[in-house]
Amino acid sequence: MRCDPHRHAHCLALFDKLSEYIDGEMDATERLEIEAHIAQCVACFSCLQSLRQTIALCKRAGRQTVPAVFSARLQTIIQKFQSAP
Amino acid sequence: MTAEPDPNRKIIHDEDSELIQAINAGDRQRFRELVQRYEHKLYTFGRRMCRDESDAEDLVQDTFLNVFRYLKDFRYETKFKNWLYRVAANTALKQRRRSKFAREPDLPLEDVLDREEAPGPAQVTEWARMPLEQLLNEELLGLLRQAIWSLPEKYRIVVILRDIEEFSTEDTAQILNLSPANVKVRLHRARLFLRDKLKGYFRHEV
Repeated sequence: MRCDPHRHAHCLALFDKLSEYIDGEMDATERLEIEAHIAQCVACFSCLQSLRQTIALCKRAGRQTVPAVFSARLQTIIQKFQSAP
Repeated sequence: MTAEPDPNRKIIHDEDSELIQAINAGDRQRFRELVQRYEHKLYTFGRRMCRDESDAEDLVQDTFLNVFRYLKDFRYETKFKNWLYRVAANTALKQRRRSKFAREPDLPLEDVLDREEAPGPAQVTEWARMPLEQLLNEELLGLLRQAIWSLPEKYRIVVILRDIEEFSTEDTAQILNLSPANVKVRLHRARLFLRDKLKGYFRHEV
């Protein structure tokens, strides 16, 4: 049975907990409640999928290489600081 | 004046303890090792916090200089990495106060709640089901980085620490001096904001 998405108070209450669910920070009772709801609510399942994908993309967007020039400059600055009395 | 440490305090030994002890015992040259150990991670942190590359470099540099100054006050009561990132977070906040005085807005939940009346057309959720490698391209990564920069700072720093630097909720709470509940709320709102940006991107891509 499809939930009337996002007008349903239950959907909204669970929506607020989706991050905790994804992060595994939920007790077993709450987790089972969410899983039971998602199994029958297309809209909430879609929210969950898109939130999961957002998190995965975010992890990839974070990666950054230190420019060699900056790394060398940093070491020089630290060296000067260390040498100060 | 520094208060006497509590003799009953819990001491944490982690992978950095030996190095910190050596530096604090007088082997200041080993601070270079500490820089090498953390410069990549702090640079990533800086680049995600600061839109401007030179601001990010200043953040990294100032963080290490502050660590060097205050390392002698580190008491091994937290993981060193958490203490390091607390210094970085405080440095970032001070940097922002210097460059911008406008109070940053909150992210009310109403602004990031999914307002779709029904599940959208298939392509709206298609991106959520695709393998990551099929989605990733420079344009999308650029969009996401812009979106992270456009988050108000108190949400940005939480999503960076949790989802990019992969600190736990407890460690993030310790770094930012927040409650774990507060961390979770800010993280959820930040993620929803970013999801909103992605949905907009994929809607136009179709």
